[in-house]
Amino acid sequence: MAKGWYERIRDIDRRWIFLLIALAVVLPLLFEMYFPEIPTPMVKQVYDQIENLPAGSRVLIDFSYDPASMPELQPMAIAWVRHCFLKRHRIYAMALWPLGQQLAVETINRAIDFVKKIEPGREIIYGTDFVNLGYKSGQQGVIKVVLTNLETLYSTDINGTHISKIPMMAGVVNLKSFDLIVSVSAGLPGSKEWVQFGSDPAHVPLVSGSTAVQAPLLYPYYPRQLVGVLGGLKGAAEYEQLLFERKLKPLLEKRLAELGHPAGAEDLVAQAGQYLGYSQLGIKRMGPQTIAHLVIIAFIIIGNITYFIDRRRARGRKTR
Amino acid sequence: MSRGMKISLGLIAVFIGLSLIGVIFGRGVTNPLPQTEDREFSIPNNMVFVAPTEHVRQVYDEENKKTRVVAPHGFKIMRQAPAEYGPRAESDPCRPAPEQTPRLVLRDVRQESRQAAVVAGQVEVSERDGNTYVRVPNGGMLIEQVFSFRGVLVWFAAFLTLAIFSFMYDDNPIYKFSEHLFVGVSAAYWMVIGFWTVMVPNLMGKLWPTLVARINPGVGEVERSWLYLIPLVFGLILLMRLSRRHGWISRWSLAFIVGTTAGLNFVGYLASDFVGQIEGAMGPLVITGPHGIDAGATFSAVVLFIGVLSSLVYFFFSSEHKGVMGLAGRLGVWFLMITFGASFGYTVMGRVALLVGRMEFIFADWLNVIIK
Amino acid sequence: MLRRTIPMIITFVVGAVLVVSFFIPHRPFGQLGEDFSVFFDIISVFAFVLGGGNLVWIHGDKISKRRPGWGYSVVCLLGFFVTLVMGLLKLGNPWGIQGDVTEAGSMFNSIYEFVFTPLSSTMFALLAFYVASASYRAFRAKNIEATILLVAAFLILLGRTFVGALLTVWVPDSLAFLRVPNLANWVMMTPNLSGQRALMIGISLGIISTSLKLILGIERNYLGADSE
Repeated sequence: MAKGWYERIRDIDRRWIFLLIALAVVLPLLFEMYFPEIPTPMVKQVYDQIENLPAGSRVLIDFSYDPASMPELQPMAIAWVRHCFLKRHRIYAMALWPLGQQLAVETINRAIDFVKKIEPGREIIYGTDFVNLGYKSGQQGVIKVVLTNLETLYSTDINGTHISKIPMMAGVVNLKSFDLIVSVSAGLPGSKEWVQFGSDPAHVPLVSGSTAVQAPLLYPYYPRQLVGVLGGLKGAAEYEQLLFERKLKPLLEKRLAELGHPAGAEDLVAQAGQYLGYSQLGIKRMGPQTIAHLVIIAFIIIGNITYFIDRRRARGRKTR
Repeated sequence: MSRGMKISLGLIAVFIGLSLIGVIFGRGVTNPLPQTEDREFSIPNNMVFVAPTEHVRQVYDEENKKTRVVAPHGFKIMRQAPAEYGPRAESDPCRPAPEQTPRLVLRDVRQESRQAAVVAGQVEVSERDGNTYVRVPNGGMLIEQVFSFRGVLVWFAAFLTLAIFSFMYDDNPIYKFSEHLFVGVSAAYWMVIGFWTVMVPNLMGKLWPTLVARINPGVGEVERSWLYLIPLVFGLILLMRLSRRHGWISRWSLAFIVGTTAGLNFVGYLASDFVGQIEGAMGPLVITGPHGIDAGATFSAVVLFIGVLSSLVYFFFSSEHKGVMGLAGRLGVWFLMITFGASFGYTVMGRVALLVGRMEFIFADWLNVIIK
Repeated sequence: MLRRTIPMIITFVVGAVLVVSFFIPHRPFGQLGEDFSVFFDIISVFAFVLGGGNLVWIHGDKISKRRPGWGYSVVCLLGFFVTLVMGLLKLGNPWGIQGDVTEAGSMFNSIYEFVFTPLSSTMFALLAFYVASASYRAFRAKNIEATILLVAAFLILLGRTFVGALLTVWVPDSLAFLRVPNLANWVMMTPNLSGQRALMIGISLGIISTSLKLILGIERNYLGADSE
């Protein structure tokens, strides 16, 4: 018997569903669709934690992720490093995942290029403004050791220089020497281990950026053991939006006022658009994310409609 | 032709089709042919770059405040390393030991014959015997012309990506090929990472520091510690698991692993996940603001408290879930359903983000249809 | 004695030292705790070697006996040995044997970047499609609990998008908590947090009790059967 349109929709081959999801992701990418983000209170708290630290504060950033989780975590890592540089905080980069140390180098280099465009003439010097301590194996054991004595494990930086020869390592003894810990985490070891073995025993504030899958598991630590969590791409996009609105836009407007001529203004406006579109990776990737969410919501609605129609038909057959 | 083979052929057709889309609509598909390109490398400490003085050019970049030293025929790359690797001389315990500065020599790393440049904020340049020696004390970049196979590797990566996606249609030989390749590569990857990041610095570096210092100078000066024979012995015992007759002895290593995990987890989970969470749950139920009781915050605090309590009651199986216990347990289930629903939402978000990443790779890195 | 008692003693000593080192971080417990953590790491690497050896054994056996699908085993072992050789010898590393094993430009890093990462990322990305399929076929409001789960997921999915904000932008400020993004936020911060907290307490109790049982030798399943 030929299937009607309702039966075809109800019994649709799942490969058509796969195709629709693929199109929901590809088309917004191709047409560069993205939407403004509204930062949520928790993201604002994370932002304020970094913003309210006095300039020159010691911020330990743990790059515990790999290229497989880069789509979600790289945008927030870049945003954090940019924010720290703009606030003149001193960044201590480390990694609990092997490839994290390379990602730290890439992220910091990208942030330096960006900050130099925003603040021309600004010098960011290795050893004074940032240091990369590199990867150490041992998972949560590393955090446990660093809690009491950093030099036991990190006697040299990523380039092999002894930490006694690095100016910004003066006075850094253990985890308690830092003003803030930032954990960019893709799994184990990550933010959970930082809470259990690091920030909670040391009573140092911790902010976390994690994959969306892991984020709900970190909510119980909020707010006593964790200042806030940036959950996945959405959290990264919200943070980028906040950074643009509160930091970059005023800086750009200030430069616009200083320049005061059309050529400079066009250049800055083009730069602002470029930064918003291309260097704000989180906001850019939220476009396809948004459309995919809507498609999945539509699937849930249609699936339930077909379920209720079938249920009513079955009940009707029973009563006859 | 089997169904699997037809799907594989369809995959190849899709692969060719997409590459044609890139050619027609993109800015030019990534060139699959090997080519010469400039690549940047971050310079580790204690590296020295040597080239004949007549060929070396030094340029100062005023805008970026960096010095660029260029050698059109490449540099000889050498590393400053201690002349002798070995135990320090014994000193008189009654007198402070004099500071011993190790004699440094240059050891060869490799020769580069293509054009190369060293770029850094601080550069130390010296000349000797017709050669210029360049050292970068605070880090910098080495920019070398390399013969790059990046293009063909990007094409291969794109093919593997589509091969895995082909499983969504159905199982096929090309998917199986990719799957088996993944298993082999990932097993070897973790072995290599474990060897170079754990075994060499932490085990071999403690037992044979002289040998390790030659291949991994970044480890720093380390005293020999025979205590590290313990993990070596336990590790070798673990490998006995492959033997049917003597495999029982691997239990000793397993016991060590189990003991460490149990010890670490006992304290970590007790402090942060148990006591910490109970402390977090015991907050004030009535929240006041500048204008008196904050209704919203108070409602949330009460919901939070009831939620934790009722969810815990659901997991309490020592008494039957009847009466008040039954009602509380039922309420707990509802709170847990909200938790699982929220987790599902976030899981969707996470997986879609990874899919966006892969599509970005296909359309930006491979086909150059979009700008990354 | 050798097969059961000594392993139990090892578990007890190691576990107890690590617990005590938390409360007494000074010598010798603090130092022993750190050392044991490093020993654990080293022994775990031998477990990787064991895994690799097992892989070679199984696939080698399949190839030698020409079992169905042995061609794929050749691919598996080829990928394994090529990656192993390139990584152990640091072939193509710009700084030679002294360079970092994951140095950009090395052959090992190229294998990671162009073989391992695309394969593993795509495997995970496949889940997006299956999640969508599950949303259509399995996510049904069959009873109250399923409906609550569905509504929560719906709210989170909608609230985390721009469309969610647009749908309820007309809601007055006095009722701002009813706007979809604010509702989604409240669901995450209150009912979700309470459920996650309860789960965390329950799981931690399980882990604490199991860890204690392992350390004290009450739980011995990891030792296997006595006949082994």
